[in-house]
Amino acid sequence: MKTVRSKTYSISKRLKIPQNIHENYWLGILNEVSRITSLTLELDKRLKLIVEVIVQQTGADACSVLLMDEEKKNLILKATKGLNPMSIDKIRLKVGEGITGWTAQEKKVVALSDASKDPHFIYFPGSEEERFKSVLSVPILENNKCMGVIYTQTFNERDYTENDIKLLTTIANHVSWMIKNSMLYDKAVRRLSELSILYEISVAMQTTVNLDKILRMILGCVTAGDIFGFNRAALFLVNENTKSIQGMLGLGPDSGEEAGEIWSRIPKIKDLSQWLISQGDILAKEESQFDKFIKGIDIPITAGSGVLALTILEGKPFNIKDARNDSRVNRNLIDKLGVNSFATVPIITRNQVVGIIAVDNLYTNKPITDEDLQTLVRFSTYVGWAIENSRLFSKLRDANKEILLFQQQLIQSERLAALGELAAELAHEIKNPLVTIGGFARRLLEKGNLMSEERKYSDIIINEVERLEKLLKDILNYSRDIRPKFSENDINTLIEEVLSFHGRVFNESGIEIKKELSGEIHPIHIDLPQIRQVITNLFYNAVESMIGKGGIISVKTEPLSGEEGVTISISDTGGGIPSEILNNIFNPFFTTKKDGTGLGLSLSRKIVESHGGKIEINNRIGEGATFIINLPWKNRQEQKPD
Amino acid sequence: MGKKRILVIDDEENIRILYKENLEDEGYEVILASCAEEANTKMKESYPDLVTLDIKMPEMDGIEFLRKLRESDKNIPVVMCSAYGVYKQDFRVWASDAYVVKSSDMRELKSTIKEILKRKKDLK
Ligand SMILES: Nc1ncnc2c1ncn2[C@@H]1O[C@H](COP(=O)(O)OP(=O)(O)OP(=O)(O)O)[C@@H](O)[C@H]1O
Ligand SMILES: [Mg+2]
Repeated sequence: MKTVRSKTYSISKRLKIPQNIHENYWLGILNEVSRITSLTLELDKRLKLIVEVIVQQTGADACSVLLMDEEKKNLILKATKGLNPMSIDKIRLKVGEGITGWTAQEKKVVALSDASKDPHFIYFPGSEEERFKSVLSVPILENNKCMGVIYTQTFNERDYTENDIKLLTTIANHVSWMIKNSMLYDKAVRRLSELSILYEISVAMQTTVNLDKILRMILGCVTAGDIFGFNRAALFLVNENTKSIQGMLGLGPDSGEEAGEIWSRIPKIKDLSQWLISQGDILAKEESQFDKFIKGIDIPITAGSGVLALTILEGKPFNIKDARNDSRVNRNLIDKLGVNSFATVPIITRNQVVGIIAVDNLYTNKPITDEDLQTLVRFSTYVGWAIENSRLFSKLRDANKEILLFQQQLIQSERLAALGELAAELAHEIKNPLVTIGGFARRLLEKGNLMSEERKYSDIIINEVERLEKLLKDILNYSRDIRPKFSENDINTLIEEVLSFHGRVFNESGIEIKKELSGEIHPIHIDLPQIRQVITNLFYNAVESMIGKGGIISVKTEPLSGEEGVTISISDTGGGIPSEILNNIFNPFFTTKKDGTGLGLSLSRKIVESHGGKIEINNRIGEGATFIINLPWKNRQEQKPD
Repeated sequence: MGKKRILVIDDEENIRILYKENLEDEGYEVILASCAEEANTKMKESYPDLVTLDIKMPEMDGIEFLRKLRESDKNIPVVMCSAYGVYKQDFRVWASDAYVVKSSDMRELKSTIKEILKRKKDLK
């Protein structure tokens, strides 16, 4: 150490240059250097120009610049003239290591006429340093902190003069200023790109309130090469109910090769928002092993359960650099993740920690810097906002749904009330003529002097009138309830009866009936007249859909799937129900027919529902409609007392 | 003992005819009225033993007619006939002796009339 120091200020005896020449010569070099420092070029390129000028103008055979890395632990060769240019970025030495390392550590100038004799000398293979003898090494200082080292070398031994040292020190000051500015510039650029990234992200996030999509976009950002460039990212949300942290999403390739492939697909900032929007959809389909693993994570929020819990509890980021030797880390988890360093950042909305973003660099092993972490913290504010937004929205949507449902119920009950009034009106109008028709048919029968045919017809009239009267009574009771009178009946028999009763109508309308009545069905509990009414309504609708064209009515019965009961389907070939009216056909009084009442389907549904059943439509526009009635073997409500 | 006389009040002619035929078959003498005014005259002319009354007649509501009738003659039995079942809950109908929902099946009406007239006879 002493030997080095003793030579530090050794003054050259050979070079005796007059003062004025000296100044001119100095001014020339410094002019050139300051011109270079102010060029709008990348730092590395400007350093290269500077070392070239120094070699050209100072008689040195080599000049190189080493810069301190971000961790301030290593010096890295950034520019050289004279050494092997291939070693740029490759030569790394620890602070304190070698002559230049010593310069950096001590922040002092070292001038040696023959470096190889110095105990600090280290030879870097491939650098071709072995060709040089003398070294002048000057620290690049900024605020008394060392940012790097600039040094010159000569093939022959050389004693450096005070002037030589002053010159290189002045140049080092220029370089220091240049580095500082370029760092500020880099920061500004970084900040700017961060801002535009955040802008792009918010544009992308505004396209959806779907939480899952938003989470995918968020992690898409975190792993995109141009932005944060983390190899993998995971998102966790706090479950308030179970007081635990739940893995929501993990994004990242499962292997190194896959990683390379994915990263090459990631675009420049310009189309970032587009890319992110597409990520929301695309990534949903590609579930990785990592994603599965993350989704399975559920950790209690207690102090002892690892860094994730700590992030929530303390509401601050963690940058874990050596996980295996860090007592805060959950061993089990880190082993499964296979990394030794990772970082976590809390997602905070309204002073509450709602989740965590966790990142690592499994494939590149790139250390996570505090600056990365700061950016991630700023980003997580956006994330919190987006999550909050989406949660508020889904709450709103739920509330909305409820209101809608309520509204529909209201409309339904209003409809029923209106129906009640109208029905009363209607009943009165129809009832009187009906009473007369039926009444006189009875009188005919009572007269007793009828031929057997006339007697049969009167019977039919009387029966049908009775059915209509019953129906009217039901309509009158519509707004209260139709309580069916149940008895066991065979549906197939009922269908046959209705078909033969209306056989003439089908014949005259050119309609063919296709039956497929299952032998597997058992008698079920129904109110016979009511179900007869339903089936008749559906047959008439089918017939009416094919008026003037003819067609086929297919009627089918089969056992109800899942429980005991019967499914009845009635299909027609009448072209189906136009989609714009499909929502209305069950509304009372909705009709498209000149002399329809519009009560057929609404009543049918009411009846089927009072049997505990369901009525559904399979509508095939352009072809026909199928009405499907599901009737349980027994209505569960039937057993309930009044 | 002469035939019991029944006044049928209904605005629909076919209903009146139907009632008349049915009730005559039962052995009653039947007089018809198509409105409240006509019914008033018929009441004074022929002193019926029983009145059937359609609740929903145009001009005058059957219930209103019943109220008036009760003011002049407290004892004459009245059977209300209507298309609705709902009126059974209307307390004003209680002023009548019976309530029958109109039907093409006349048996309920006939048995109700028979019942009321028998009760009246028993009271005498
Ligand atoms: N099988 C069908 N094919 C096409 N349209 C149908 C069919 N069934 C019902 N509809 C449509 O639904 C409407 C409502 O049917 P609904 O049975 O309630 O009343 P309606 O048939 O019009 O009147 P009503 O039953 O009193 O004769 C019909 O007017 C018709 O437009
Ligand atoms: Mg119909």
